[in-house]
Amino acid sequence: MKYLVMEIHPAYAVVLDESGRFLKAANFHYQVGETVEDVVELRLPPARRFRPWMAGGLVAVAACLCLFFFGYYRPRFIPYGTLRIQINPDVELSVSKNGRVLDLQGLNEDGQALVEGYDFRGKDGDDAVEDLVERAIEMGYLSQGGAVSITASSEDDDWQVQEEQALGAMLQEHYGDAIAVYLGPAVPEQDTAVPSASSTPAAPPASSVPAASSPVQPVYPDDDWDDDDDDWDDDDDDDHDHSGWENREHHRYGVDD
Amino acid sequence: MHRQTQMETEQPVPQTDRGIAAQVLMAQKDPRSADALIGQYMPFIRSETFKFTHAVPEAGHEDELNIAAMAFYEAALSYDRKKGAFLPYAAWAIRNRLIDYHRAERRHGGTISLEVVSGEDGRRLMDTLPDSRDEIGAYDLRAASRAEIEAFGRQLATFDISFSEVADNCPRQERTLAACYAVLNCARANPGLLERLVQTHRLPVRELALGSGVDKKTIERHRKYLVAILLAFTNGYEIIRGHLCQMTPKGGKQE
Repeated sequence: MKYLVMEIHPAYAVVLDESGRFLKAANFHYQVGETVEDVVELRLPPARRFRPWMAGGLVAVAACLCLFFFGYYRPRFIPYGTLRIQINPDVELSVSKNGRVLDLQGLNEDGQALVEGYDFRGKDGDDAVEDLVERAIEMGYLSQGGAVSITASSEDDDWQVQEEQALGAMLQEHYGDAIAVYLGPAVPEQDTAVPSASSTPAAPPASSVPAASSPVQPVYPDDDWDDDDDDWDDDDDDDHDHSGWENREHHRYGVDD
Repeated sequence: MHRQTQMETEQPVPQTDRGIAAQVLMAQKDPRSADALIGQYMPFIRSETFKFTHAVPEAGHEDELNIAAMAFYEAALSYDRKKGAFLPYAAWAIRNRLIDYHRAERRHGGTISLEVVSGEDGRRLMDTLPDSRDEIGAYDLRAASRAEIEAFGRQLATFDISFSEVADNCPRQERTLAACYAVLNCARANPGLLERLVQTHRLPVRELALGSGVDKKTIERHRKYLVAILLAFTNGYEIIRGHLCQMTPKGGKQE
């Protein structure tokens, strides 16, 4: 390759090669217009551009973040379901997928009183439920022969069933016959909206009570049921301001009577 | 001797290091300040060369000095503040470049110099070879091409372009170079475009992009290079064109 020297500088010469490239090369005392054969080309600094290894690094960092988010953060810190305990105090716990309590709220006044001062942070859902039941006993909300209703709700039906059963079994084991434990979606509409319950008094108990799997399942003869229904109406009219749970208790004992 | 070298190194450093860094960053943008910087630091370059060759450059080591000057320039171009102080960086660059150069030169180790005195009559080896070159003709040719290149440079200067800038702007990838050839062919096929370039001092980018099928952005990016190479193919630059035409079958085929 021959190079035509176009311009000379103290440190380099601009040369034109035969394929039309202008290059900078070491200036070995060249003169403009001279044709030279071997040049030592200037090595230009590599342009700062996007390099493949940078892309790899970015992908790796993104993957780490994804792993952290889906593997650690999400199961621990994103609410996965709620556990609701209804004694008379009505309490709701938000629980993450791996059972950690994220939030705790009292849904009525007694519930707020029960929750007051209880540090749920970092606790497991099961432990928190146990502690709360214990507190309820200490604070006098729950006594011998009382009942606890536990409701789990989540998008995940399996989780819901599992959680309810585990909690039910645990409470049963701890308190045995002293308290009755109800599982499943117990009177969901009633207790949140008491006035609405009063407006349609007959319908909710009829649908919810048979659905609730109580430890003592009373068997109603068909004829009795109709009569009961009338009684139930009266009952309901009497205590508007009671929570749904009260209603159920009444109902249960009413049936037994 | 060694002490002397050190003194030489320290001599051209009256400024703070920050001052040098600023100068170097200026030199990266402007070829003229780069030349000034090299002029100012020539003693430093000499001393670094001396450290490597252990002889003054005048004693047959001019090439090393030239390589070192180029290495200094390369270092100035590639320097940024993250790399630390400039002078140690430049010294390192010079040393590496000289090592590279020596390794490349060692390949010619089996040859003997033409300057060596051979035979008994005391003639140099060079003088025993038949003189096939036409020295006077070569001198004339060189003078003619020098005049032509200078005219070319002057014309480029009217476009505010220097040869250094053309070299910086020259495509490095084969593919981009091929694209530039395509643009050149398009311009040569339409001499009107070349004329417009000379008269309006503007590259007719749109027409060239349409005619050659090369992306407008590619043309814009290599504007300086394309102006230079298109100007070389306007009338009057026979020697340059002759130099180019020897090896541009790709460029000349289409016409």
